[in-house]
Amino acid sequence: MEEDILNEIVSSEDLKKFEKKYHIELAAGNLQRQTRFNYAWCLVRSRYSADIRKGIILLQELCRTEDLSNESSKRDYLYYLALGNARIKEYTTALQYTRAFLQVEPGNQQVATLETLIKKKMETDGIKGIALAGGVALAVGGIVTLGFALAKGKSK
Amino acid sequence: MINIKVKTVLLGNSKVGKTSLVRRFIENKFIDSDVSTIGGAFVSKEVFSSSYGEVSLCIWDTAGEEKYESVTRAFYRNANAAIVCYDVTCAKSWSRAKGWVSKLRQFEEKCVIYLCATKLDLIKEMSASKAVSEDVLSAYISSVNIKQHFETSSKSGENVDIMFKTIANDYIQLNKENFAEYENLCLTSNDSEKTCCFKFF
Repeated sequence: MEEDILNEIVSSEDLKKFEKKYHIELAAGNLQRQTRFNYAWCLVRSRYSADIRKGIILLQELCRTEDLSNESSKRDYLYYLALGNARIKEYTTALQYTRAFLQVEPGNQQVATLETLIKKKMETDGIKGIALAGGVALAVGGIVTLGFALAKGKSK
Repeated sequence: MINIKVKTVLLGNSKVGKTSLVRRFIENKFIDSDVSTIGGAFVSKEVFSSSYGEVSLCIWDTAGEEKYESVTRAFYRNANAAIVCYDVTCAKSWSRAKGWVSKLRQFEEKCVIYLCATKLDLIKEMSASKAVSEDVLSAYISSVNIKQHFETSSKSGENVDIMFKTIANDYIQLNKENFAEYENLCLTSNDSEKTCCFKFF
């Protein structure tokens, strides 16, 4: 399929618009979380891996600093962290994010679809079994913590 | 023959059932879940075979939450068709649907707009009342350029398939001349490569 979530490219119009907003707010010392997210959301859908990496860093920052009770935002960050990592072929990391997500929301079709796409990509790229063996155990502390935070929120 | 892809976007307030509508169309089952879509989810399905080739709907199922409103344009940009959804029992979702229609009219002149009332089963089985009267509805539809209005239920499946097929069919009808022209081009050139992808914007 030529058009899917791993190949879709951000329009330059959107990227420029949200980049500008980000820099204006940053310069004014008034950077909103929504602006950071919107910019990161554009960056991880860029055709350039340097942009994607920058988007990943922004999302990680958002994750780290998010209010624990705000699960809905954390889902967004986790999802786009998985997507961004998959797009720069960091499949192992991408799968750690989808698994952390699916541990909390096992039935999430959108994330399950992303996971399937990532696994297919791994196969076409000839990377087999690496991430599959490790699973969540490999996940760095941050991701696991996030997973637990999400779980806590759910059980309220 | 050519592969015809119709870029279709689903818009509407959160919880009106956009994802349920798509899943009913794709998998023919009803998923009653309150899981919110993140950003936009993409699916495609071949709908039928026309005399010009296979017609597929490439669907962006967008997040309805307001925090995504500023980025949703990314999903409806260059869309051939838009399904603007509202919950048939919910007035708030109706006013939000009108908001989406005016945005589409503002930014995507060529996009063909369909209005879709969801959860029709609530009216039929639970005797809930409609949030919008027939008069208001028909006045609105004739005042803005709406191709068609559907009342659907993802739970029973009522009108879901028909709606998606109509969208694909309307697209073929609207672009017939372009397809015919394209076929002629293929026939007159020596190139045997006729399976190229084809899109109109």
